[in-house]
Amino acid sequence: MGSNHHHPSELSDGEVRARALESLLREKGILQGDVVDQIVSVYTSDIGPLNGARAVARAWVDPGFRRRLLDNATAALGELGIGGMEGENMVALENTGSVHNVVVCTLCSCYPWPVLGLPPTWYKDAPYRSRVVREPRTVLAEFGTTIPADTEIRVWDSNSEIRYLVVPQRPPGTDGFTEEQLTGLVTRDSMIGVTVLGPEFSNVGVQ
Amino acid sequence: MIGVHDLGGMHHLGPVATGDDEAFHEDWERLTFGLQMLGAAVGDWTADEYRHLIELMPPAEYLQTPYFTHWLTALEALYSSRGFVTREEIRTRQEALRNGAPLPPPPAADSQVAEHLISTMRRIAFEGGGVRRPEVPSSFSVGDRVRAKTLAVPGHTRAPRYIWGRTGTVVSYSGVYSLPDTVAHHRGENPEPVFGVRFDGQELWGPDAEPGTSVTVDLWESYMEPLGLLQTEPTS
Repeated sequence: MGSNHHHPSELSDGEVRARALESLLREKGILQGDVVDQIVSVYTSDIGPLNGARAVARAWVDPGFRRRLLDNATAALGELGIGGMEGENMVALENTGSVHNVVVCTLCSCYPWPVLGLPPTWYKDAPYRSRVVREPRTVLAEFGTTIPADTEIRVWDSNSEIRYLVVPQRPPGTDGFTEEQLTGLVTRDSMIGVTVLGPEFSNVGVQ
Repeated sequence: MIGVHDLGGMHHLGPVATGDDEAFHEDWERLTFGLQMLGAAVGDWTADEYRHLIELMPPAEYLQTPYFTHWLTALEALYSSRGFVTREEIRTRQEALRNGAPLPPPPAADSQVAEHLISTMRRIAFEGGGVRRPEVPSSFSVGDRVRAKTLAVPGHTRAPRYIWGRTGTVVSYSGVYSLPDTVAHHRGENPEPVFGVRFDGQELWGPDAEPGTSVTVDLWESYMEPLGLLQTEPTS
């Protein structure tokens, strides 16, 4: 650079702020090496909805585990080696033919990281947080989910240290499935409660 | 506080972007998440203080900026208030970046420090922190009818506005937890029993509520009062 003149950058405000803070923390030796990449990788590769799916599938095939999951989800998840930050106090909410559960955090973005990973953007943004407490049937319909009128909808606002895992209903026609096959059917959105699995309601993606 | 973050029930904030499905869109968002996890390892702040700093964002900015800039607002405040960096350094470094100036090269990494950092961050991720406090006697039990207090306090609270003054039923006991209202302001843990309280949709939203819906909110004991005591008491 032979000049004092620099071209103004095209960086977004977020990028400028994150890069500036990173640069200062590195300069002062607080941040070292590739620890940011490593911890992001933990939450994109190791900790994610597969954990929750494993617990749900186990609950479907093992009545004893189902009971323990509903009685003390933190301990039951611990049996599967699942636990950690933002999941220290877990509660499992079982969907049935008469009750459908759906989870939100209206005040910020609380979400059960150890079972579902990091939340999708729509979960953190204003429309979902403002609306799902007041009009859950309408919001679920936007996800392609129609809950029968005689099924009660319980919305859970994660405003405290409790984190919720929805246990969706096992899809019909899966009687012969192995636990591993069942695990593959369980979606993240069904464990937030915005979708259901299988054709018993008008579920997305099922013909 | 009666803040913009307290979104429950608000109208006209738009349709849910159901297809906006990823946790991160851009690299700076991943970086911001990493800086938050770094803070969990090296900083002494609580989630409550962190959340309150986000609540103090200018309201229009809160609604108009990407989610992870909310985190940056808290992180800049926390890293500077604890002396890791100064506000002036942040401002100067941001200006340099905006002007396209080259950043000073970081010092060579100390692999032992890096190793210690990542093992601390992994331990936090996989083990978490013990947030539940020892049991204390409680004035409420499952089945009680209660009323959520109106908590128009200027500081942090986890009682969302849409339940203030509403009547609900205690449906679960959640354990004893520090009170965010004082923790966020460095005024002590003041642990209290917390209960899940269910509010019927019509109680919250009136006759236009969707039928057969409810919202369950966790309430610290000081967020609610027993309904029985509010009703007319026999005169003596």
